[in-house]
Amino acid sequence: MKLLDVSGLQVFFEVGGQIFPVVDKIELTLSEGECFVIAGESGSGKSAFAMSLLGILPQNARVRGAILFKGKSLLEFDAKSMRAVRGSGIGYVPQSSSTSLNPVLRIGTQFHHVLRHSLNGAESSKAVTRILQDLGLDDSVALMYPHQLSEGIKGRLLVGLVACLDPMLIIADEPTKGLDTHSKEGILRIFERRVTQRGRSLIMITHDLDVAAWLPGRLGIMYAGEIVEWGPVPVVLGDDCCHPYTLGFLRSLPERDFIPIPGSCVGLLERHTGCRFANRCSRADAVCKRQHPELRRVCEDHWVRCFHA
Amino acid sequence: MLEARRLVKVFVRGHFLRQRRRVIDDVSLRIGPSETIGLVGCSGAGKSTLGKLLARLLEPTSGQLLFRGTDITHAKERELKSIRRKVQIVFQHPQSALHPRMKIADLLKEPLKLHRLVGKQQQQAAVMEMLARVGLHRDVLHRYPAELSGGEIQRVVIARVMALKPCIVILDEPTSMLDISIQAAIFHLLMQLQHETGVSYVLISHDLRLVERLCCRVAIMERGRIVEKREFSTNTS
Repeated sequence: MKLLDVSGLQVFFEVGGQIFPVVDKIELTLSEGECFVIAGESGSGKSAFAMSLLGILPQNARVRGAILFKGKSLLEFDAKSMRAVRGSGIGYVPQSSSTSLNPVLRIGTQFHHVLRHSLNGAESSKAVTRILQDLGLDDSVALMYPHQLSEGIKGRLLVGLVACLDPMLIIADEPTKGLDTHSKEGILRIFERRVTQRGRSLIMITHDLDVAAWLPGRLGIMYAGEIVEWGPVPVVLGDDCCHPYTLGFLRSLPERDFIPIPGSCVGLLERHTGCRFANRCSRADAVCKRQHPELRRVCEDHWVRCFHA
Repeated sequence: MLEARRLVKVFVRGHFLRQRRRVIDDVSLRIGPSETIGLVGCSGAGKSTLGKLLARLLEPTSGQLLFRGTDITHAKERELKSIRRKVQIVFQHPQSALHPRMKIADLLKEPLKLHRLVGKQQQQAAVMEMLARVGLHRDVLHRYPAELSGGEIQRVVIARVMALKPCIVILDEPTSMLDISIQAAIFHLLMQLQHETGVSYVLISHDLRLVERLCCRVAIMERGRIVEKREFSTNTS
């Protein structure tokens, strides 16, 4: 049985009586011990997709489609059942480590709060020491407040807080954003251990392709609310990538051509017809502007949403 | 143009214990006209503190800071006003760089008013010119920073900085919080502005590939010291 099975997932936001489509028809299956990386620019719907899996979207959001976690439909769960899934079933690492930790509680206390339902006081203290060691941190960190720690350490602690409940699936929303290479590596190693040694699953959202390349598994490139290309990480990031957006994304890297993608992404209300990348694409023709492309297979396990791929 | 001689910055922590921490330790650096210098290192190496010292947002504990031959190490705020115009800084977090309750139009007018660059009648025209320079649409003028994307906010910040016609701009990881695809667009804009105005940049980053791509010289920092200096012959600003 698949751990996670998402089909036809759509997310809309209702603002002032108007409906804004944010995520469109996402299909994703994930087995135990598998890793899926979602990359794409800001506003492409990556975070909205992650939050829809956990049911933590704002009240004005509407979700359609199906999300099956261990065979059970999460969209039919009430608030109490969803609370039971969050934490031990699906763990969520939010985007900003500096604003996600409680600024007035010591790190140790924050770990005790997470562990209080499963362990008693003495066990919990031992567990905190062990977790800090696993994260490569000194015991003294438990007595410190978040403002006394660097962004890299706070990022690692946030991952540790989520991982201490040992969830089947972790969804990490840009956990390495703004961090230096050393701190990034520290965080990625924690994830890597969970996937390879403990057989847990991971959905990682990032726009850092180095991070994507580090993790084994599949990579989905999101653009304007939909996945435009997905396949194994080396294929999508290698010479075989097909979608013009992925090509543009790779060409904008400093170690490659360092050329930005021209133009800007279509607005939320302009996503009616045609390919959503057509206004920025050099290959676009009349068909692209008229007809919306569907994902099609270009080779085994490699899918692209483009007429010209 | 800007020269740091044996700069030292000591932070004192704690009201009673007065723990002293040397965050910048004997750093010397020289920035010439129209060049881009890279400052790289891990978090906590002192890159941002050095950037703030160079912009004289912080006062050095010892050492000397010279701007065009004038010693500005311990210059008073009033004396610094003209230097502030010439040495500007772009911060890492675009969201916190602008006043959240001011509209973009007012934010763009702010430096013009502070430094009395144009008369009241010409302000609107100057703002439009600033927008055009950084490739922003006039629609953004009536919005608040929270209504703009990170890339757009960073463009507004760059527009504000460039309106002052600075000689040196300290870029403190200006794109680390932005998308990779936007990173290239922001740096293309900065390089184009350097070509037009001859401004020098001090680029603080932990992305070696970026520094290698853009800088003619790079200083590598560790624990407050410059441990290595390197030149890239391929990048001539």
